[in-house]
Amino acid sequence: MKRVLSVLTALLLVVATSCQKEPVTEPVTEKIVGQWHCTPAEMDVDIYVEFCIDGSFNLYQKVGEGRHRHYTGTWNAMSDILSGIYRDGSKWGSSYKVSFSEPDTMILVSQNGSNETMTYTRETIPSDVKDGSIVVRSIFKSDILPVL
Amino acid sequence: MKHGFHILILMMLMLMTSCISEPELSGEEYSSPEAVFMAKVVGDISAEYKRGELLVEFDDATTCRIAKDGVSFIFDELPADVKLLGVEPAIRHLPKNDRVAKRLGLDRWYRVCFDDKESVDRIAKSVAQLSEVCHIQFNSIPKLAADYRCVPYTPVATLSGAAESVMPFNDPINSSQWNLINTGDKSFGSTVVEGADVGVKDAWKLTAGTPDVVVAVCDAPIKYTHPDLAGSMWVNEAEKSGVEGVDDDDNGFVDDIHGYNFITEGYSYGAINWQGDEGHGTHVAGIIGAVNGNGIGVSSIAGGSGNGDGVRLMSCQIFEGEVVGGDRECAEALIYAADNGACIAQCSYGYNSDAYSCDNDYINDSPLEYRALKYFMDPENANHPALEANIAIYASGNEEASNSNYPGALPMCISVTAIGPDYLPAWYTNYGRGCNIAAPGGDHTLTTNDRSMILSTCISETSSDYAYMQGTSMACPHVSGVAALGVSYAGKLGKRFSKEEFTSLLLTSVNDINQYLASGTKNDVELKQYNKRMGTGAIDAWRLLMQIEGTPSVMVRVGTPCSVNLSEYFGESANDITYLKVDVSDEAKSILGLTSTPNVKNGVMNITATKNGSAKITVSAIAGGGQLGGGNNMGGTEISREVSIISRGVCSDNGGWF
Repeated sequence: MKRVLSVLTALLLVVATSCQKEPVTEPVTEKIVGQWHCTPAEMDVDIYVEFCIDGSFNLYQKVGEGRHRHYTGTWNAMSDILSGIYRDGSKWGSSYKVSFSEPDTMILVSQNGSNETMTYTRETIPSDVKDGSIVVRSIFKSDILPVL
Repeated sequence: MKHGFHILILMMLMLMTSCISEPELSGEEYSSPEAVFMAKVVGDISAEYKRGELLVEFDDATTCRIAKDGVSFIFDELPADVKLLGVEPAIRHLPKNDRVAKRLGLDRWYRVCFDDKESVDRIAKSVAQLSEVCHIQFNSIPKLAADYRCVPYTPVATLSGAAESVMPFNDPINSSQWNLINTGDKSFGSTVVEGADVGVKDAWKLTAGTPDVVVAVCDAPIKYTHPDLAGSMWVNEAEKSGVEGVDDDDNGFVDDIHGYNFITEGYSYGAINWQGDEGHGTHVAGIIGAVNGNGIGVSSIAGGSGNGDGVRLMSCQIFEGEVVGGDRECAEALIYAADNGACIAQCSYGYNSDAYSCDNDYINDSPLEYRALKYFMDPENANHPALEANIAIYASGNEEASNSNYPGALPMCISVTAIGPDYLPAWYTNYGRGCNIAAPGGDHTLTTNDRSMILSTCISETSSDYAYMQGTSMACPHVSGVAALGVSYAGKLGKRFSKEEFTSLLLTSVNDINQYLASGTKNDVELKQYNKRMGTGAIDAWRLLMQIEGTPSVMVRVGTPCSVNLSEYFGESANDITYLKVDVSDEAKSILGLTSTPNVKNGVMNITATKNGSAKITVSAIAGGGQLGGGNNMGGTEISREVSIISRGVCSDNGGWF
């Protein structure tokens, strides 16, 4: 009986330990999931991004003139580090340390040495941005597929 | 004293020099009638020219005297055996544009008319002796860029039927228009390539043309009663509601309701002589602006959204059946187009590819038409708020030659080569020097039923209401139509471009065709002879509209050497274009922390920014070949784009934000 109790105690400990891991990652992932908007100061840039729960993302970026360009790919959050890869196989230019100053404000700090810091606010992506965007498949030939 | 002596010697030297600069002819030679004639005549007098007339440029004093006293004194000065029927201004233009006409010297040119049984040569030699005459030009004759193959439309079932489902307009035979939307239907040829079209499918969702854009079709007449064209015709309301036989709007032309016939003067349907005309002008017009969505016939590039809102077509008739207009008629058509509201001149004609070897040859030989082109493109004569100057688009020619026809080869014009539904050069097309861009022109060699040619409106009088044709004549209106869409869209957005800016946008809105030209043959011709010689690529309407909206900035990572792909700025063939220079202002250098000027090679800009910031860099290139045209060259047009650079801490390989 004493031996059984010991085994049960050990099992409980294992379960408890494994449960303790979840609060580190799961809340960050859950918080990242959703639609975000970023308009960096002093830059003619308008960024919308949707991090989907299935690990895919939709990035709508307007850098300078023209309409939004639509990039897709997959993302991953390990601990508080966000990384990803585009559909054409290109890696993101950096991974990012994620933090939240408020529930609807996400701060991404690049981890490539530049410490570029961008603030994103939770915001539904306007339908005109989605519907009017141009799908970017690759930077190389035939890169633009109109979707209108 | 010594100083005065020096001045004296200097004056003597100057006198001697000025004597030396006199013509090398001896006094006797200089005064011989033949020598005088040869000194004053311009152009190739052995080429084909119109009989019964000469074009003469007088000096300024004589031009003033004619304005004051009339032309009778000229008759008086000529020998008795030279009987002139009249002397009149070579071209008519609106008084409001006098300043431009005078600046270009157009007011000095006169048309001297005489019996067409007379020897033009003899009259020219006599007229040349008048001291008031500066230059004489025979009214030389260009030709249509057509192969005169016209095949009436007959219904043919498509193999895939796919085209019918993708065409947004209910025009019943538009499924045969691969040139608009090419689904890869093999009934257009076994080698058809999906997407080898003009790229309007998505462009039409943004605009299908606006009626404030007027395209002058300088060609054989447009059959303006054609049921698929009547709604797209430019209308001169004053003449329409005016009195027949009267110049109601006082523009110098009588009854010009939808344009003008510069061959026989006037423009009424009953007066059009269709003899010998397969409907070339009507076919060209239909490619640009046949009415879309009217439930009949064909669709067109800029024929509207189905609400009668497409671009308008002005018929500037310079060919009538077998009668061909000369330099003067072409010049007057361009001036009429400028004076009466056209912002695009669609010109599927030109002088054969072997007529001129460089720009200066053409400019010297066709001074009147050259000046008329400058008049058409003068900023003071701009006819649309989205353009600071009008643009002229020409067919490159159908002689399978390795250079363009003139005047299309001039850098101020756009010269169009032809491709088939296989994205390959059409068998007839000119290519190489002076050619700027490619477009669908049709190629009958791909099929046995001619469906690989271009289907458009035609004339029932000598052919059929709808027919297939092929030629750079057909390719040219594709570029004109796309340009018309571009002007329409720019107008909608409230944007305004200089001629150089718009031309740069147009010539970089292209899909790559060089990828198909590296090897292989077509009709036993080596394709590599066309490689990088068909212009910048194949025109694409969607790309043009996107560029008109604005081209995105490119991002570079600060402190890191970056290679930036310029295909968004210079089109899909960016890696095949010859780049001329990169201009960076001191301010831009400072903002981006550039320590050296970026270079561009193979469509990639190599740049190292050391500071965060954004700035613009101007990149110039040649549209069409490796050499610029101008002067004693025949070559491409200079284009330039402002590339916006954003330097930041993160940059991905594919331009994505993260």
